[in-house]
Amino acid sequence: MITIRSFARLKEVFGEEKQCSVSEQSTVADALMTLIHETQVPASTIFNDMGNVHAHLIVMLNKKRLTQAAIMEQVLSDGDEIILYPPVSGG
Amino acid sequence: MITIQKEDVDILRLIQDAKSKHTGAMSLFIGTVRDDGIEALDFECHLDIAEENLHEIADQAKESFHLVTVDIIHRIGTLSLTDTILVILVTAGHRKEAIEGCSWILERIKETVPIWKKDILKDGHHWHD
Repeated sequence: MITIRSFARLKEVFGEEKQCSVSEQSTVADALMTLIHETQVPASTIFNDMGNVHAHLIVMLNKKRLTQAAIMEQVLSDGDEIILYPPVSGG
Repeated sequence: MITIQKEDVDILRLIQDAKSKHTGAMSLFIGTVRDDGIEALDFECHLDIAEENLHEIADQAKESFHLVTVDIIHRIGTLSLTDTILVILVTAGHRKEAIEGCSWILERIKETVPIWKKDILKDGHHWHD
């Protein structure tokens, strides 16, 4: 079981915090796709036409920011926390 | 002082506390709520990451621009027109470092720190991103 936390406008789409059960060897991208299916929103909310996460979204795993490659390849462990940010707009 | 808070900022106190005979320049940035056809702005953040980021930015700025002190206060919650949003106060030996350092800090905050703003409109809201 992993946790996916969303902020700002994404929180309104996915909810603030979601528990997702993922199978062995699932990647971060797999978990995000599970989130998409479970919340029944268009995949384009997170993924572009080539199946990558939109460049403007920020994905963190256990508070460490992931590169696009890491999102697709990083295998998850039980208890991991994924954080999903839209572009920041402070200041 | 580097913090994220709901409360307003005592800017004059901040300036007074930062004055020192060892510095010859202060640079102050105050971001406020502008009337872009909105009722208010609402700010949300990922608190622990955001504060960590602000400290990292301040440390980098001190090193890069030889700043003596850095104060960064960003407010969250719902802010009305003209309210203070963000205060950056830096001190340095000379004006060039102070002005450039203050500006660098502001741009880094806008680019990286997990804070988000939402326009509060008469008939709903709209996230900035």
